Amino acid sequence: MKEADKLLRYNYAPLWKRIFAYIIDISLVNLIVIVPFKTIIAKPENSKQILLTPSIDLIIAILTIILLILIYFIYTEYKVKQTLGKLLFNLKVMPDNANLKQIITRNITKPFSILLILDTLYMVKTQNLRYTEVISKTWVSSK
Amino acid sequence: MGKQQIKDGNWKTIFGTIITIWIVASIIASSVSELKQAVSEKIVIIPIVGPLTISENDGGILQSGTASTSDILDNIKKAKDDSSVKAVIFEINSPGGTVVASEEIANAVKNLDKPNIALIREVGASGAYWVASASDKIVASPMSITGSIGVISSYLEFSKLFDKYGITYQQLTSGEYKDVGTPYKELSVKEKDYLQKKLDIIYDYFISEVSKNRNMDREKVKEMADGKFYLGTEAKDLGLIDYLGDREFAVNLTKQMINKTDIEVITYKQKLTFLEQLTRMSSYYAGKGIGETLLNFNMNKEIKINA
Repeated sequence: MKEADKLLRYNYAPLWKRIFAYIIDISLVNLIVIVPFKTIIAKPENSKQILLTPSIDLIIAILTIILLILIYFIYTEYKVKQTLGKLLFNLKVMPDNANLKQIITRNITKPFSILLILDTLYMVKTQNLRYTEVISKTWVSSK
Repeated sequence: MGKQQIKDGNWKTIFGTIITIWIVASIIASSVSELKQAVSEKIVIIPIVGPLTISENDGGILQSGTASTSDILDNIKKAKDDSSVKAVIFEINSPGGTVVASEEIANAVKNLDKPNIALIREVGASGAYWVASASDKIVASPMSITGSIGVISSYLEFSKLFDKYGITYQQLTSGEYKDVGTPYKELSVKEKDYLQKKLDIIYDYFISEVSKNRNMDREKVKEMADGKFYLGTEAKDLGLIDYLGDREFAVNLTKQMINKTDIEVITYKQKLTFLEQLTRMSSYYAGKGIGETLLNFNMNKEIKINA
């Protein structure tokens, strides 16, 4: 299928809309998930130990943050095919009948910034799709 | 289902998810902090702020900020029973208080079987110094006010005022000294002598305790126990305190005492009155001086003995 046909058929969302939607989502996640754990993460002994011997509270905090970030993206996209950012920019995860496995796959890199960057860099090749979107056979369209 | 209804449903789902996640994150974060605090080794700071009194600090709206014995004793017991507490710092900012309150707290400090330090901030005088003397070491700022070893008893006496208005005081008592200290009549020489003897006993006991606690010669303590207060630098020269330093110094000294450099330091909160909470929120220092003076004005008719 030609690129122009693809764009027409899948109605891929413009990149700038996706970026702004992501900024909104990540700011929100920072506020509701990371801020409550700030006192634990910001402890001087924890910031020193983060790569060497993380304390038990730090491990629990990090795991909870990862889990809650995943829940935010997976639950909202699975239930209503949108996150808050996507809702504000009229974006939608497609296909409409995407199953839970597909939604989990497309969001699995969200809590890990390095993985997410690598995942996003794949767009250089595909123009509109992250790597996890390709393997999950999902995409984001403009409504 | 219409487009608008779907959109509304999406908003509800998304906001419901956001709120749920925020609540879950907050609950887990606070539980983890508490869990961590409960199991990790720590140095505890117990504040002893305000005049020492045995009355319960129930946080009443007009109650002045006193350091209630029960609050402090509860905190000391908590630190004693908690095996994760490795040392205690008593952060003192108190002009003293009632004899019984001072003695009760000093005894609790003495019986605390963990390394402990008294850190005198602005004031640690009289009964508060008694408490400090019971700790292993005393740290004070060079400009802290300390010492003031002595006993004071005072009350307001209105008998002259009554004379002016033709009011007479009539009281039937079955014992000669039963109404000693009533504000409605002047003390007789015998009564003064009687009260002075009581004060001397307390004074003597106070000196003995300080001398025992500080391992100092009784006579040396007595020489200094004329009610004079001393600045930190003077107190250090006289042996009333061990070190000159601030909070950070006290924390580091405690860490040295227990040979632990990487240990958490937490503060047990002192119960604050409503008024204190208000004043702390607003311009604290501006209002506090005036407010405290007014609130501490003792109109109690009973005689009070303070150390």
